[in-house]
Amino acid sequence: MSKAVRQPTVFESGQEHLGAVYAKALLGAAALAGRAAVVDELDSFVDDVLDRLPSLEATLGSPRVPADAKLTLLDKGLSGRMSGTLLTFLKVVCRHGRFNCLRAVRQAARQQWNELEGRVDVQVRTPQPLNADTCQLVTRRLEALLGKRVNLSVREDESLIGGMVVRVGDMVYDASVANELRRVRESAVDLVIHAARESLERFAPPESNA
Amino acid sequence: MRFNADEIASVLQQEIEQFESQIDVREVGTVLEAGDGIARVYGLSGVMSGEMVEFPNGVQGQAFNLEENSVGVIILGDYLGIAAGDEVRSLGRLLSVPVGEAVIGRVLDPLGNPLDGKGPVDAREYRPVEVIATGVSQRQPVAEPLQTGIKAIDSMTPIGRGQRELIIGDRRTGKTAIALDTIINQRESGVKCFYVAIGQKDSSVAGVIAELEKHGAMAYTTVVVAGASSPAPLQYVAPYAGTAMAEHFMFNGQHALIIYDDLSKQAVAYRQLSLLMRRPPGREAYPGDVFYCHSRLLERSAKLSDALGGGSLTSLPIIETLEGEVSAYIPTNVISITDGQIYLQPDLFFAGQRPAMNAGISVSRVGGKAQVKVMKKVAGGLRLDLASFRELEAFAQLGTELDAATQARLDRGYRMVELLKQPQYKPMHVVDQVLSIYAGTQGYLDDVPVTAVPAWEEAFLSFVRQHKPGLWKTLDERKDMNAEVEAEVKTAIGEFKSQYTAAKPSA
Repeated sequence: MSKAVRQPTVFESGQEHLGAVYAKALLGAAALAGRAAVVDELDSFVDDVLDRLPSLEATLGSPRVPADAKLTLLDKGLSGRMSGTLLTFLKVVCRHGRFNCLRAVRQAARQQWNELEGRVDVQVRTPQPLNADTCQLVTRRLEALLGKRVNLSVREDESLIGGMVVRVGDMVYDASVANELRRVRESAVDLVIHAARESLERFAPPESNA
Repeated sequence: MRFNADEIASVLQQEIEQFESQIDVREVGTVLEAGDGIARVYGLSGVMSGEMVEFPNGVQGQAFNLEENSVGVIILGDYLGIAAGDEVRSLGRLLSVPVGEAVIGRVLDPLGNPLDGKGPVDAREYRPVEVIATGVSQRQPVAEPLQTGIKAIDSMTPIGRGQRELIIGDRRTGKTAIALDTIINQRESGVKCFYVAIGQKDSSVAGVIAELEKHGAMAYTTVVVAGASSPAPLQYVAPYAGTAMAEHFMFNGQHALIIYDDLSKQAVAYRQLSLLMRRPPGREAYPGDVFYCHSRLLERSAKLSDALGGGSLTSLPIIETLEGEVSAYIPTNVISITDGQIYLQPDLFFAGQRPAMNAGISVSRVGGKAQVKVMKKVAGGLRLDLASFRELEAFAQLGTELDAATQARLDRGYRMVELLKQPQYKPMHVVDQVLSIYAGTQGYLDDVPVTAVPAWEEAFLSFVRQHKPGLWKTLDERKDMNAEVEAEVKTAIGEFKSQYTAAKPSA
């Protein structure tokens, strides 16, 4: 189940809902000044600890391990190595048996923090790598368009041929050459069908006209 | 055929020259799960109910369930090529189908794609599949008859243009036969016909199309097919698609007839979709809104006001019952929605009475208003007479001795039953029907042996056409029978009888 959550989009809508609830609680518990830190800390915990120690994640997420044992494990392993807020939060999550939602919590926390900060995640797909100047230009144009600060992530996709595809949330702005070619093909096929239906003789070879 | 490549190239060049580059803005989501004709999609947060979406393989779907975190989509096509993780894009439009003259004579799927191999449908206009039915101020009462060409129906349960008349009965009792005869009878009436086949075997549909072609009915008929092998979403959408195509003619001041064959299968498809979408099941596991599913469909049949052109859409929904159980959920629903029902009974069918219509419980709530005057005069009491004959017949079977008057009523009843039998694909002109029924109800057949009634009728009608064309024409033009015309009819019958008896003294 946790594997599905690693996808760019949350694939388990139930987990996503739980993740949003716990993320709101985490940001609420963190002091105003410490919110950024706790979100970064959660990111680091998932990337640097859980990704490297899958057995730890399995143990903390397993319903067969008693909650007390999980709390002891967290205390022994993490006490003094992370902020008190995050440690307490992880204990609450473990006690409620929701550790398997932690990746959804992390994603929701990042999203909620972005919203609080007036930032938005934008994915850009281009056929060739963008240089720094172009990245900056795209970021500035998008910030002007969206009225928010933009976290830009760029991905290469050769199938686009040219242009770029920008995704903001559920909206996709497709200015790729591949899409233009698809549209040309569709309208050309329609046009030829209409023209052929109106006067088929026009398309007959010259010798058959004679 | 070979094509001139230069000419095609010039068309393409023109298209490319006129092509304007623009950014394609779309809303997207991700498939969470897909199967059994439905998909759950994460994202598409701005999609509206009924909006079309497109999957990467080009298959389209329709937003069906809007939930808190996901959207339930019905897949209108092959769902086997759709996988979890696929991107879904909203198209920002509702499901529409091609309409107009281009669809006439074609066999189409519920999305308007051709299935008859006659090339693409060159439609100039499209119409949304789901629209709200016309309101009361846009309608007028049903008064214009729609002749089915079937004596039993046109005389006892007449159907008007704009009416919804249910054809209900067990399997193999002749439901589709009535619908087909009605279509065949519209050859000269100018009524455009639409036959929507839902959940039927493709072989049966092929048979229907062949019969329609054989009788020249495909020239004014469109067949919409969502066969038994089509996914449930297509079977669910098919009646709405057919109605949209038929409505186009109604709103253009013309008359259309639509057959839904059959709505029980559509209800089953809708139940499947609803259960897969986790909507709560109700009676017989159908969802709570299955009544609305049928009522909003049948309410679209109407007779429009003169201000809107006076067009009409008549519908003949078909419902298949199990073991004659008309009190099941779907039959009672559709009976309550429609303006009457033609009930076909298996025992009548197997006794050789075809159409096997039970005159006692078949009704038309529009009644005599949708009959031509002459038929109303001739067949006014026929339904009740026939119903009382059935009662009397049951009583007579007990072996009781009957008085002469009762025996005479029974004898006439037997002849009327015989007279109302009609072979398939032989719809009759209303004047012929009137002449036959007049002869029967006025007792001119009382001295004809029961088994000889069909032959007598055929000979009589051919006699009138050959020797009394003036009378036939008068009845056809006036559609009424005054004392003078009635006397002429009586004379004609008298003349025929003397001639017929002389020719066949043994009869």
